[in-house]
Amino acid sequence: MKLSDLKTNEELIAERVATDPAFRAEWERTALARAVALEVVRYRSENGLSQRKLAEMLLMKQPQVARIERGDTTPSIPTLSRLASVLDVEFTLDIRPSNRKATLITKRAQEQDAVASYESEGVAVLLAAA
Amino acid sequence: MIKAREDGTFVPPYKVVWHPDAEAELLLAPAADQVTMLHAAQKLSAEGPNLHYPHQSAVQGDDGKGFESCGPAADAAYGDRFTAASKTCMSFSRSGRRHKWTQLALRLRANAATNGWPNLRRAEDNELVRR
Repeated sequence: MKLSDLKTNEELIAERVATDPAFRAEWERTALARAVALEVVRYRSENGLSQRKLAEMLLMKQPQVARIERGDTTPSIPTLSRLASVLDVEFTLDIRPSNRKATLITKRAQEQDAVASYESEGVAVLLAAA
Repeated sequence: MIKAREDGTFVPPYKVVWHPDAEAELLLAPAADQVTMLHAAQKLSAEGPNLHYPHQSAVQGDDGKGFESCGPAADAAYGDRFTAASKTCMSFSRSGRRHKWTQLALRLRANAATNGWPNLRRAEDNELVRR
């Protein structure tokens, strides 16, 4: 067996979304939370921070950071604001009919920094962090 | 395309692939756990060996008790089943990172691969699994 024979994580996700309604529902429910989680994990890793240290910077408790990083609970707007301020990251959420292109998201963000997108029942959602 | 920094480390995202046994195991889990595990692999893809702390506790299984083989036994059980994967996963512990990611990676039998993991890149054309 070769590595090239194995499914990538992205391929497996796409397959699960396409074939399992329960998975798709959960995947879409957590889309925003997962996108934010990835951004927080990336920031913490790039800056060599522990969860506790980042929590101090965010004026939060460490379990709150852990909860954000789990990506199963959608962060509130105030939490997103605090993350944007401290992490110096811009979160942009574009929710629109699926037959329209995103207008709020910059081309750069769409090409490089879009961290979550999905379409469901005529609605498209794209979350970008830049 | 493999990108490397000046210091010789590699630039993410890392490619994460799933062993067929891992995929079969994944499909047995509830949808919420599947999401959690695939999201964990997304983080692995984003940060690779720089990923510090796990969220293994979010993977609870049907009975809410977590997966029983997420422990040292997993290393023993799976370590000899892999060539490239075990080397990669073990590199987490050798580098002093917490072991839970190693265990989760082994449990998932996900191989973090290519574009930055030299030992896996070398192994790409070799037999991956010994049985």
